[in-house]
Amino acid sequence: MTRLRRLIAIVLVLILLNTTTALACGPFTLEAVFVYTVHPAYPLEKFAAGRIGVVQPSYARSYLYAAYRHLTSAGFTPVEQKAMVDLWHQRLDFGIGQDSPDWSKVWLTARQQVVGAQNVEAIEVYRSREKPNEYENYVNCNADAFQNAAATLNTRVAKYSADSVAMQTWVRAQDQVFSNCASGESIPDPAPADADALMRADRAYQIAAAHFYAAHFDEARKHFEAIAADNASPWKQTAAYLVARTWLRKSSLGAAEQKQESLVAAEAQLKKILDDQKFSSLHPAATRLANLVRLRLHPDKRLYELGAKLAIPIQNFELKQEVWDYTTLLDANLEADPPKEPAPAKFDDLTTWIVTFQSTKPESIDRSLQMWQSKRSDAWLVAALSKVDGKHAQAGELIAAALNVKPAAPAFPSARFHAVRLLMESGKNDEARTLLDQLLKTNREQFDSSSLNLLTSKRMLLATSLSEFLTYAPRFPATLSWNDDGREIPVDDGEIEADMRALRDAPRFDYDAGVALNKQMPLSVLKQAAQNTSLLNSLRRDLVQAVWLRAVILGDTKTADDLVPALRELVPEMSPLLSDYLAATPQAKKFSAIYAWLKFPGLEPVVDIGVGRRTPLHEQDSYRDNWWCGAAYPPATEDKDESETDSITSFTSHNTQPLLFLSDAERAAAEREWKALQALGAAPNYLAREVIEFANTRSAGPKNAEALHLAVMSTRYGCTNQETGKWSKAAFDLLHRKYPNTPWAKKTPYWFKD
Amino acid sequence: MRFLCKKLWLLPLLLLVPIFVVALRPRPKPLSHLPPVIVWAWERPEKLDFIDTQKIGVAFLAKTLRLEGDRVLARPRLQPLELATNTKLIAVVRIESDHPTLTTSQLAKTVSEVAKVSELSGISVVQIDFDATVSERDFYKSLLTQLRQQLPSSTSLSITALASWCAGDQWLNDVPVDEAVPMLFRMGIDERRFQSRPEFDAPKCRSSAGVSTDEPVTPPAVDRLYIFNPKPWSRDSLNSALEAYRR
Repeated sequence: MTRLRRLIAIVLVLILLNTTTALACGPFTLEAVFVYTVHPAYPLEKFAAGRIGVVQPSYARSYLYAAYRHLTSAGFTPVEQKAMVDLWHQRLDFGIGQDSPDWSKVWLTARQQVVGAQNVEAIEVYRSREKPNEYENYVNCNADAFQNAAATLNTRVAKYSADSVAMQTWVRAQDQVFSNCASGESIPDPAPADADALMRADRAYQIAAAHFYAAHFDEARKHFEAIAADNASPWKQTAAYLVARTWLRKSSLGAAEQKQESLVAAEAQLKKILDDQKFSSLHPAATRLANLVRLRLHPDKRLYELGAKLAIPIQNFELKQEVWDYTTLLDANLEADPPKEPAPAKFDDLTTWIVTFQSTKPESIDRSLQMWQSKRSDAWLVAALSKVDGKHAQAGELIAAALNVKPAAPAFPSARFHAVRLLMESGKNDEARTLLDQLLKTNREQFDSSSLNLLTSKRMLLATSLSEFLTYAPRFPATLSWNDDGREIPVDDGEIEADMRALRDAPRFDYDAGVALNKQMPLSVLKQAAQNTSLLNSLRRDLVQAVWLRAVILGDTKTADDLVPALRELVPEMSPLLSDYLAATPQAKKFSAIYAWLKFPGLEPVVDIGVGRRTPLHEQDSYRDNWWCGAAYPPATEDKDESETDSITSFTSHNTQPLLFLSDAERAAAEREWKALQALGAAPNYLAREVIEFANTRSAGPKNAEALHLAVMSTRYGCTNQETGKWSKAAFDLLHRKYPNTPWAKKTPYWFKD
Repeated sequence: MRFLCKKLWLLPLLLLVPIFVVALRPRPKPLSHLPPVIVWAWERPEKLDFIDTQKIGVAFLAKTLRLEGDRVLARPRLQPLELATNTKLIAVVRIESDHPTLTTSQLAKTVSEVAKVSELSGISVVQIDFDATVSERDFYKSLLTQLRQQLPSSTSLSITALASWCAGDQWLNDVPVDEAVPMLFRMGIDERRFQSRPEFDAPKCRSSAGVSTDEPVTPPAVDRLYIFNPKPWSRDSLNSALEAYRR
């Protein structure tokens, strides 16, 4: 029966395979990130060191914390900078790889010296919780447990020797302890009666630890309490500390109703330790644990406590952990559903600043202005600047303050960028342009690649001529990223081919430049742009093909003809087709151009934004980015402005405005032409329609059958809509009716539904 | 006798009839036991004890693997997940790559790590979430083939897929999975191609689709819709998503 099913399946597969053509595997889609919005420009070391660029409210809060420290001149020591960078990489890396798997190595290596110790290859450190929480795991055995075990083993081997029975049983018991790390409830037996005091003490500690890792928290605590009360035990002090850890773990993993009382007990035990100088060697660890308990027991208080502490430039060896805790608490509040903004606190300027800087509530504008008025700090100046628009009553005062910020100050890039923005929004374009020109001439060093793109974007919008526009339209991406998760992580060189790596170092059109060229400029201006040789060839090539095809579609034969020399030079592989185009009669010219488009599926009447289409123009793209794919879809999805979808403001190059150097008539023409292009709908439908019309009305030519074949193929490999099936069938029918015995008809056995 | 012989020639054909009937009988669709909506519960605290388990299932991130050099780093779910009784569950394993060597031993370790999640209670489906570059596809084909052999026959195998894998690309055709879920969000430039009118010709991509609450799309007509939420689910966010996708 299986064979029969297989046979039927094979037949069906063969039938199905016959209907389709195999496509080559295409490249993944890399995105050019021109302006970072989630985190600052890489390398993050520079940000930690104070080169903070234009600070985006949409950055993750740990970056805003670092920005605040620099804006308030607190800065970081080199050690603290490293701590911050470690934290960022750990978070961007989702923490995996930073922790876990090799912790046990130190113990596994140490135990090998004991003669007769059984082989243990690895120890899994994660353990899953009990039902009904069995899908949640926790780190059960931490690195310090293995280090402590290894150190103790070395000490004991020195005393008892590696081949002693005492050490063999010691290792067996410790193996039992660690066998509970991942699962199980193995508890070592009590020490034999003839064991010496040290071995008995060790075994008592091993039994307590085994209970601890087996999640017998009450049992473990009782054992640790007994050891803590045993003045003869070398584990007396450690056990006292572990009583607190047992309470804490019970609060995390035990019954929900006992969580609070366990935390209170942990806090009390830790206070006892921290108040007693006898335990001074344990105080650093106890302090860390107490901080964690406070985080859980008094989260609001701890948030302000951390906010106040982290703002002050004192050497802080716990910086990474404390920033981690602080931002976790902030995130928990601000990303709750609904969000909860911590109330401003006088003693915690940092939290107030971050919350205000990110807030989209109208009252946050007034708060930022009041804070700036009262504190006159760069941090609050940047917050106020980023929140007001050019029409605000205090915009002028803010601009003046922004222009007073010195180039060496960390606030300089943000202050100058917002000064430009506010000048533009208040209609002072000339002042904005002068300021921008000065910045781009003398202060480039103060701006990272992402911030520099923000300036260039503004300068492009302020262009007074087409030539100026073309100077500022091309920009270097701040990075290339797969960005499939929205985290703007730069792609590793090893992940991409050399030609893609080169893209990072080549200017491209960003969103604003693409919109200006594709929608805001009429053909008459685009023609001048295409003939301007100041653009790099890679960009000019894209522009010239776009303008030539646009001219063809819009019926501007003169412009199309005039652009042929440039197109021939930049796309030499089109040369024969362009010769045919020029030689065609006026009536056949459009068909000749349409035929060329069918043969060059990469042509499109718009320029690429960002990385764009990488498949050669004459080849079909595996992902159907052929024959102007974007035309198939409604404008609403095509032109989504990312900055509008974020709840927290980010400043990007996605803001467009009318180009200053265009006349009203040119703007109106551009609008008409864009509407005409949009009215074409999916390009394969348009291509089929044009080819059918020509084939129906003109005498039979050698290219007609091929054009009909290609039109049908375009409905298969182009981007389509609900009308496509109709046009595909019409082209297919005409081909088979009018040219039934041609090779093109034989190559076209099917038409394609949308 | 001649008469009998005349009839006997029909016997083999008659015997074939029940075989054809059985062979051609419509088989239940794979994963048909799952509800029409599955919500992804990613690595964050998720409280989903309020869902209607007849209509909604949960695909939770159970483990993250990182293929780093020749190592396989495994991290299980570390965040709480609260569920309603009888929730239909899918255990998801996310695989990330960091210059992997893709050796045979790395393959074996990866298969073993993924297979372990099928031992979790109540798991009838294992789903793998991965991004295979073209050069990694052979590795993932082998992974899925070996995994299929190691998983219990009662456990179904699902994968998430880039939308482009399901349209035009054919590399999924011969991988032994019960479904490939085309992801209609975070698509990069594929967005303009798939967002308004997704269509998938790969057979394994036709029964389900994955969408996100923050990127509204018109999903194709599928048996199962997987929904991602960038924030932890709440009753409100789930209801909004169900309304938006008319489920």
